[in-house]
Amino acid sequence: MRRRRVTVVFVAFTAALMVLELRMIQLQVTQSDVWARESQRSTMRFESLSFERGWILDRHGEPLARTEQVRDLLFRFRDWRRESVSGQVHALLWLLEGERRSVRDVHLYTPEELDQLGGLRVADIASVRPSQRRRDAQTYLGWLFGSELGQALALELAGDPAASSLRVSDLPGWPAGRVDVERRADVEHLALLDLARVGGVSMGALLEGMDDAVRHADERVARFLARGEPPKDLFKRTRDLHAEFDNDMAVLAEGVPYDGEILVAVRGDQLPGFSVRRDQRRVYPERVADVAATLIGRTGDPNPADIDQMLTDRVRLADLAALEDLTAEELDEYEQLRIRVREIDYAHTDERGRTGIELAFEDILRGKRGWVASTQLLEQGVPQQVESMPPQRGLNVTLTLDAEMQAACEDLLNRIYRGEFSRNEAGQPEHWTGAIAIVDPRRGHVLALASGPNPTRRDMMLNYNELKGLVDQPLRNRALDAGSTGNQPPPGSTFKPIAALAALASGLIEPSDRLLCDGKISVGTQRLGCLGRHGEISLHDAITRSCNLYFYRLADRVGGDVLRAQAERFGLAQPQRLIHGNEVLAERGIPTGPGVRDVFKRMAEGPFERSEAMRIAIGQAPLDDVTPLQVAVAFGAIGTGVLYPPTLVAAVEGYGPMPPRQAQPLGISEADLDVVRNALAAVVDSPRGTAHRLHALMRGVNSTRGLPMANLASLVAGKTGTPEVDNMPDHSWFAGYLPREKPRLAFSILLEHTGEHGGDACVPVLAELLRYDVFADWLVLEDRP
Amino acid sequence: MSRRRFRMAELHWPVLLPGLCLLAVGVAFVWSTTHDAATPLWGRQMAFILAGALAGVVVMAVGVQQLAHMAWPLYLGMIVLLLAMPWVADGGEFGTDRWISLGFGFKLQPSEFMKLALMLVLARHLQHRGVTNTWRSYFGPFLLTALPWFLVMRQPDLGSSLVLLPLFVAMVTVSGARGRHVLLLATSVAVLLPAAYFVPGVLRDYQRDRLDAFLRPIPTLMVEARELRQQRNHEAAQQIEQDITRLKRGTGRQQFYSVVAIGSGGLMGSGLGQGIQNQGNRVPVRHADFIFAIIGEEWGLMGTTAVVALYAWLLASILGVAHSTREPFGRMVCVGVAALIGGQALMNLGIATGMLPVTGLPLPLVSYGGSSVVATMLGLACVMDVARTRVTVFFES
Repeated sequence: MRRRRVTVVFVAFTAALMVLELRMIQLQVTQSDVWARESQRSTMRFESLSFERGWILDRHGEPLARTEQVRDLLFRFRDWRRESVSGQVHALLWLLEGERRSVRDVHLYTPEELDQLGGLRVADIASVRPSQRRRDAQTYLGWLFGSELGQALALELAGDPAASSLRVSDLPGWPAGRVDVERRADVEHLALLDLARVGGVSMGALLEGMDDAVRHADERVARFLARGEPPKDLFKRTRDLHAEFDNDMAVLAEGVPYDGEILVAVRGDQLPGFSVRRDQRRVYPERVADVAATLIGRTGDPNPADIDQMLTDRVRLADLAALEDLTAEELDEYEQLRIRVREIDYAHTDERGRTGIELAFEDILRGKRGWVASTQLLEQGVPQQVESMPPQRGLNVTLTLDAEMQAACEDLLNRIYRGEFSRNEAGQPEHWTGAIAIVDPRRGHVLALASGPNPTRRDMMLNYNELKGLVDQPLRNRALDAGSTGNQPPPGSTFKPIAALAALASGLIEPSDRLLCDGKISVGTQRLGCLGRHGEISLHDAITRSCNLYFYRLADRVGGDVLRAQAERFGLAQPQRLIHGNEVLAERGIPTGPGVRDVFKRMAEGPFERSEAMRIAIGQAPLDDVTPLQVAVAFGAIGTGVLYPPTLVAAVEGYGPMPPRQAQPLGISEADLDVVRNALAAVVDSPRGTAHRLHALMRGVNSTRGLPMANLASLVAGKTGTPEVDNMPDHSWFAGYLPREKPRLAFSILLEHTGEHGGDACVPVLAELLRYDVFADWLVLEDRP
Repeated sequence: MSRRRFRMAELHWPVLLPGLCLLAVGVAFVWSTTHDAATPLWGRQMAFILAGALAGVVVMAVGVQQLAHMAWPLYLGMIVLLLAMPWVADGGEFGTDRWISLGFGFKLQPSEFMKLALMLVLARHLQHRGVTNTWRSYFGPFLLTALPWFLVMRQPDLGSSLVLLPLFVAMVTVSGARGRHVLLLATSVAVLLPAAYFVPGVLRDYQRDRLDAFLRPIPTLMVEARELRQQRNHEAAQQIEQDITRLKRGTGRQQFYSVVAIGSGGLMGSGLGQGIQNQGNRVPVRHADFIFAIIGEEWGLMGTTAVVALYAWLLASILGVAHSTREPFGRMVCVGVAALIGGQALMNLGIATGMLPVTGLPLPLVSYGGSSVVATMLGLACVMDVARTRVTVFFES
């Protein structure tokens, strides 16, 4: 009976062991691959590497925006308290006293204070409760004064500590340990002093920063403890939380020089807890920091939407990665997502383009993140690297802008805004806003696109409402963006040369034809007028003296549709597509985004009524909403006979130099063009020309470098304009090109709502602008000795 | 007394050989798990084995029959020691009072020796035929078991206390209890144990946490999530994965990484000392309670099967001795030792492979730990003494 029962017991155990064996086979054979993958995964660490953002350069290679490597001094509380003498003393006193000392308190512990530690009785240490706290204190004592003392202390505590009358200083290993602590503390102090000196931080700031890091950790622990119900073992929970939160990195100082990084690298063992992290920051070089600030734009942290997208991508990637039998589409999606998540995704610290060129060329300028995947398994003490991809630097974008010319234009516009060029009747300065566009008509290169007043980078960081208080529409680049709030400028009389060319090309007007100007004309119920009574007037004189009536009659002959077609041919009726939508960039596969707005209202299609046609001829609505850039390009085309659409990008790294955009022949004979060109020259030269004062303004004036300017006026050909807008003072224009033979610069100057004639408001601006050296470099080279 | 002198030739090799093999495996893996640590423990483990061998020699020299006379004093002495634990113990990690510090870093775990003392007392009580044939007759053995069970439970040491159950059931079974009584007993244990979860105050919080983790084991959840993924049900899978993340923060992670370690071992394992989870320091107490996880990782299915086979061999040999001896006390001792070793091994392996909830319990003869090694070797010495002095049964009346 009993023997049979023994067999029953044996069978029961054997059966249970068989079940276990089956489980083993399940785990180690059937599911082995799953667990092997999980095991491998549990050791993987993935580190993302940051890239350097590409630079933005002007046509001469002057950086307008560049990326600088910066170094931050970081502090990790956990490493400091575990490895440095002051940190160990700091932690030990916290365990013994229950109160945090300040870092300054424990830094450079004096011999007397060390002796106080030595005076601790074994019984005192044994009485520290709970036992975990006592053991921690014991550990720190061992770390501080060496393993010999640590072991002796452990033996004492394991025995009957109550009976022990020993003090820490009585334990073997104390004298050597104490000397060692003093030496180590000195070494650490000197290293910290050096770090403060080299890093450009004061010692006080360093110690304060460390205190902040400690406080931060304590606060996080306290917040966490307060959250749930009180834990059973408060100290143990606190300790576990500290083990986690003490790992947080605190930034003690930014912009640490290279030497600081070297110091931390070389003397790292003397500076436990300190490290230097490289980061990159967008820098706008001081000399041109505010040049074209709105055009270049700025970078900023990615917005929440970007981060959301990133997280969504990551989740989806994880979903796909978990699949074992991917379909072709899923595999495709997986590969794309993998690239996006690993390379293109923004870390939350990555700056990204927010406005302007920075945004429009975001895909070019930003680099690609690299990564290192490594396992924690050590091979000769170094984590094994499994897979890696170096980060890729972003590509540089070279603009056609001339930084110096741009700076000159902006400077001048700022002076105008300050009121240097105008006084009202009461003698108060008037704050004119405006814009200057300058292009090289030979290739369509945009040299300057200035808008005034020009906000500084500091202004751009301000709250938009504050900025708006300073000036209306502060961030609008008036050279490029006609605005969208009404009262956008029509070209006004600057359109007259183009209307004239339309009439000449159609053959309906001969240069010798004279039309009557008797001051006013009635169209239905409307009465349209002229500034004077010019009598029988020729085309040449009509342009020179800006006669409206001539052009009304011209419009009667050629009709509104012909005028509109001509406006379109000169680029006044459609957006410029400087970057986004630019066909040259698109052909080369250069990704672009919005950022540089060229806001433009497409001109209405005909047919036009008689009065509308007349208004078009003098450059009023329905022909409105042109930008200074368009006007400058159109005048460049008159000067050269060929229209190159404007281009802002000279070259993109890796894609090579950008060719000019497709030239548009105007279909106008040279003879006809010469008629208009002569008239434009006469605008300046003829005593009755609307810009005749240019000669007077430039006579006897020298450039900033001291070159005489008198001859320069006779190189300028141009046309003034004074368009009317509803319920607001008139705008003022002056547009043209120079030199008259083979023009190298085409310009347009717009001052908004001056209420003055273009010749009065804008011509002095040109005279002043040409005094800047950069124009001498472009134009006056022949005149220089 | 010359009969009682200890001689090498009288060693019972069928018991000794698997025992020594398991001890060797234990030393190898204590080396594997701790040779990189600040304090390598395999030397100490060897010392424990030596101490166990010496104690075993003493036991064999004294003889099991002599021990039978000392059973009651030993049992009462251990009870007194357990009662005194709250005052003499050195507080442990979980606020537990399991160990008595012996100085020089050595610690005694009385519950390990309690098992032996209980086994001796039960053997002595149950050796007589017909002690257990009425319901009332179970009262004595039950009380003998329940008292130390309760005391060990209060330390708390759920693992050690649970081992007393198979001991009790096996010894009562062999003592000649009626078949239906045995069945009822086994069923009631199977019912009452889970019921303990719902009775407040029986389990401590951390024990309850572990049970929670067991009821939704991470490995099972992972397989579930994986299957949902393959069905393109990503949202449901994400839900489960969030649960896994939460469980991994709690106690479930011990068992999870244990299963990961065993599963990743595959057929052959990664080789002694080469395991990823071993080096990664993820499996907790991997030199003691979770040593089997590292055996699985580094020696693969070959190693785990070998260990299971060694236990089967050892149990077969011990129960073989019980089967063949005519001497009732010796038989009961053998059954008791087999139940202790077998019960602990089964529970430990069940925990390591994720089939049972986590509770601290060493793998007998393999795990690092002085008390466990010495106590188990003492048990084996008893068995060998029974084998040496047995009168072989030719037929049973």
